[in-house]
Amino acid sequence: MVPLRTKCSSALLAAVLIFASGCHKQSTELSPEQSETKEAFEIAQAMKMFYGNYDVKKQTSVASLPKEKSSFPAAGEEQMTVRPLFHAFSGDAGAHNFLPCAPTIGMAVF
Amino acid sequence: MKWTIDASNRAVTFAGEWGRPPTDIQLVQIGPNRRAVKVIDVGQGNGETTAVLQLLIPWNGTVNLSLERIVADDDKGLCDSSGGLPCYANRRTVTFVPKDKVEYYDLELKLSGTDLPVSDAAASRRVRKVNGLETLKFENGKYVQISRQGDLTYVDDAVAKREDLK
Repeated sequence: MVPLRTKCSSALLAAVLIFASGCHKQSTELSPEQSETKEAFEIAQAMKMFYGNYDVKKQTSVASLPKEKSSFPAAGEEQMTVRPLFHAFSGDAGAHNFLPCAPTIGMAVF
Repeated sequence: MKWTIDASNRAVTFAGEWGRPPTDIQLVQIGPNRRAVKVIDVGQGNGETTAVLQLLIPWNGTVNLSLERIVADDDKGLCDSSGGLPCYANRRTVTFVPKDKVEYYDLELKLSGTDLPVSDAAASRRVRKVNGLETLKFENGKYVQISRQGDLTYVDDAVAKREDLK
């Protein structure tokens, strides 16, 4: 594991939106019931499409920062552990709270 | 259901502090058929708390950090009303203004509250009231300033210089 400040990341999906973050702590607030739902499955599907991999048990993906983002530290060098942090279907409204971490915020719209 | 990625960006911006992400994130309507993610990133240090608005908006297959503005600032963790640093607190309301026949709404940021005095002179060690209104429109993937009236706060200076705001 690399230091948190270099490995945190987030991703966001719309239609289904997801923020993902990259700390060692659990970052989602999905309840066990939710994790069994179709929605959770779709988050996994979306994360896999966005990052190319997703560990359903750990609820994480592994990714590197894109090299072209030169202002970001260690772009293209260090791997980040990315966790879903925020998601919303396009009809959703209101705030979504979530847990740890991530200076780096990514987003995908599906 | 089969998904396809419409827009994505793995590294849109930084947010959060101490290894933790921001906690205030909302999906917001910015046009009749357009949505954005609104992040309020709160940072604390030396008794000062500053909240920064970030708007993440899908645009041409990617996702832009389309606006970044300071929307709240105070020194409640440091100030001393009995002769030390004066206590101030200011904030901006964030309002998307719906209009007919537009793809993206305009955005209004309304400032109110108090701020540090402009001068450090002993005679002026009282907070000053600040009020203002900035209006922005969506253009080429970003929210850009149309107009601004009223005050800027002292922490706005960095943003104003960076974006050549008036």
